[in-house]
Amino acid sequence: MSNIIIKNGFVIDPLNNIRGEVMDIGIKNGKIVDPSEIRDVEATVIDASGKLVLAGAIDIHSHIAGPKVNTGRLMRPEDHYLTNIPSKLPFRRAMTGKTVPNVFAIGYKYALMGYTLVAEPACAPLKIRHAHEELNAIPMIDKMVFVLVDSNWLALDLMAENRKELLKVYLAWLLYSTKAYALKLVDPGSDAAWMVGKPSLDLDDQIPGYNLTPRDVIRFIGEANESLNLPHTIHVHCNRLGFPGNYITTLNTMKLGKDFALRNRNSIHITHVQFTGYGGDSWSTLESGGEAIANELNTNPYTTLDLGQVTFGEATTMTADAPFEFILYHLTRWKWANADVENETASGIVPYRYRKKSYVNTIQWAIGLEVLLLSRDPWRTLITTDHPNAGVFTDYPKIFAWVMSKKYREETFREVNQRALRKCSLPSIDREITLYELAVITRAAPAKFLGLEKRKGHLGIGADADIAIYDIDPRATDLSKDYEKILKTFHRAWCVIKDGEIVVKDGEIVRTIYGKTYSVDPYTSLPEDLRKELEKYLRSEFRRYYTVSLENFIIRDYEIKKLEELKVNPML
Amino acid sequence: MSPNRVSIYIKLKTRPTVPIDLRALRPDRVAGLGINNIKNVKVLEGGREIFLEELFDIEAPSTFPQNSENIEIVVAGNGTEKIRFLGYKMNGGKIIVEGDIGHLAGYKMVKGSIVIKGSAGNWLGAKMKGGSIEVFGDVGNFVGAKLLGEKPGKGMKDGTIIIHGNAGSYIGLGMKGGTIIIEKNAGNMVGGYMVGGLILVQGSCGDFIGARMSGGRIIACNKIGGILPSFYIDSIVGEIRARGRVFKKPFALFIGDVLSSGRGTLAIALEENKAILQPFLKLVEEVRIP
Repeated sequence: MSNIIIKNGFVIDPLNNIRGEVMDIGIKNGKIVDPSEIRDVEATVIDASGKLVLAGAIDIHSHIAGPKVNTGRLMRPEDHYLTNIPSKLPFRRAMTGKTVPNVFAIGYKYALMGYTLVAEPACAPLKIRHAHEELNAIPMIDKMVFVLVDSNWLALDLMAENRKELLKVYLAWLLYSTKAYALKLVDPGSDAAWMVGKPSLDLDDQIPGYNLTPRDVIRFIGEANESLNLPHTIHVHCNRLGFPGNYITTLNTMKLGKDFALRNRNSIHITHVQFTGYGGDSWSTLESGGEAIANELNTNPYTTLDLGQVTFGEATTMTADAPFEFILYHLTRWKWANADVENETASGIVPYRYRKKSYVNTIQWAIGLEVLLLSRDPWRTLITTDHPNAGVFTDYPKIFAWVMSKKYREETFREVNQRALRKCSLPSIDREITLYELAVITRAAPAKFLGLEKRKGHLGIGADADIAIYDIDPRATDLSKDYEKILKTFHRAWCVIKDGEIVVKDGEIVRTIYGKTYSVDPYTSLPEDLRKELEKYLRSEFRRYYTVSLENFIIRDYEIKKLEELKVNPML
Repeated sequence: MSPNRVSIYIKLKTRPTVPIDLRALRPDRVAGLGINNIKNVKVLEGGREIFLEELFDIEAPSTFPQNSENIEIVVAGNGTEKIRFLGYKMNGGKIIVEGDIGHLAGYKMVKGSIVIKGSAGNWLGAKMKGGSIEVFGDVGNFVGAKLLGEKPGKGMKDGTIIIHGNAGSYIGLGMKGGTIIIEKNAGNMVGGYMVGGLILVQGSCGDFIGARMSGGRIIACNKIGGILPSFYIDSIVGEIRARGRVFKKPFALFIGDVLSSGRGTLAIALEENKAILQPFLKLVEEVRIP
């Protein structure tokens, strides 16, 4: 690991309030240091004059590992026929796949775009060992996995009995024992209903078998999340996802954030809001709820969002929201996979194609962009495609171009469904996101959401040396006019440095390295008596519910290639 | 052969031990070139890229005509069944194989013709868009098929495949148009997921004939393994004509497959399948046998 100096780059670093300055950046032992500490003769000097230097980008929601991704690979062989790229040893291994790529393609393609941290947002606790095995095999990027808790019978039992303290300890234990990073709620309670054959639930419907509603589940888990002082907020996929008229449910879920906010920050993250931002009352009268959601976001400081932006083209929808996938299968009538994970959750996979000429798909496309362009605070809105649900992650440059250039939007308006376009407010929006705001959206804000703002998402001294350099000079080009340049630049970074190693140069992978897996440990710092109580409870409940023993359930440190465990101090 | 037609004769030097990917050698690609260019055509032997002349003895005139229709490539030698992707995306001209051929011959071919004197492997003429393939021996599975996992209708689109021998299973899987004629027997799942085109099997067929078909026409002129319960009987006809071939014997016509709301036609020879068709016959009011 040699020292590196990046000279004369045009730096944008929102977390350190650098809005575009020409400066040098020094890298020593995988960390960013003051460039005066390093002498030129003993360092690799990268001349970045006329180039844009940003921190490594962060994708907060992308399905990259776990059993459902693997099932997606199995059920879509046609995804792999024309996408094989042979290996170029020893630098790069073979890549294949588009919507459900193999592990190497995921790592390399993210790195080529300048992404260095990706979160796998949903995995059942029982299946998380598989997710970790796959994350271990993904090269280049740092990664983390969120654990599903919303339909877990153990958690639901504790909630129904109103044993709040024990619930908090259980969730802390779950994060610790699965080496996960955050708590994910997918359509809260709906999988518990689905497993007994009931359809999707709204926020105030009762979960069958429990005296609870999804609203209670979000409150209980949100409260536990805040008092455990976890770095990320709860990650909520709203109820009634994919039903026309569901934006009301989303607005109500966003309002819940106020109920359990304990810390001086946001308390609820609503994910892939495009799928839960539909107005109208049927597919044929679908309307955009993007404006309402953006207004709610502007007035509600407890909420953060990510988009789940539709990018048109092939996609593979995969979610733990099994009842919705059942409905989607009946709309597409092609392939469908479904699974129940004993007492924890369910999931489904359906391939889907977003077409520009389709009325529904055009509305979906417009919702995501409306939310981003109408929300005033770039620090609380993120760009994702919910890969591979609404589009593949390699289409991110397209989204950047759509939000940064009105010209590109207008170009796309000509190709999409005109009837749908007349029902959207998108054509009347003139806002164009600046490069600084893009740096916030893709770097600073997600690092802040994940509670990693000390080490990720910025270029200040002490941060991890994850740096993306793009071959573009923002002083010389007007990006809003020249959208081709945006597409080209962000598709392939000129140089990417990960943990102090140059991994991408001139848009080519030059080295394969393996990143860390982040997890949190709120459990070991809990009081001894609480842990004893939970252990007693788990022993009896595991015998009752699970097919595996408690000892086999827990993931040990050695099962993870490079574990980076964050200790947190719960406020119990 | 008219004087302006040329024949490129390539013969394997030794019997290959690994598969050979010969997709780069196409009559339309070599049109207008000469023998020196053809020697340097890149082929894959196993995973290794080598020149054509390292594997084959080449006999050809010094220059080839501009029009690919006048070019004929003859592939011969011991071990031609190791050759794959012969005539991949071929757009004119003629390829003759003096022996067997491996998998994926005529994959995605557009125009021209391939004649195989021996047998062929799997995926013969898969996803082909036009042209003709004639096989004098037997063929493997997936003739004129789509690739696995693709939607119905992504298979063969047009063109003709004539097989003088037997064929394996999954003939015309997901085919959309064109003709497949099998003069001997075929395996299971003939015309599965087909949405158009014609499959004519003169010998016997296996089980699941026409499973999930939603269009097109399958003619089984001899014994079949069984008829799926998702087919409706339509009528009994006295003779069937298809692509100039006439079969003067009674056939039972079925419509299906209702599982995919299909309107495909399935013609089954009546006399040979009396036992299978007996329950259906009394459902048909009018039996007309000339």
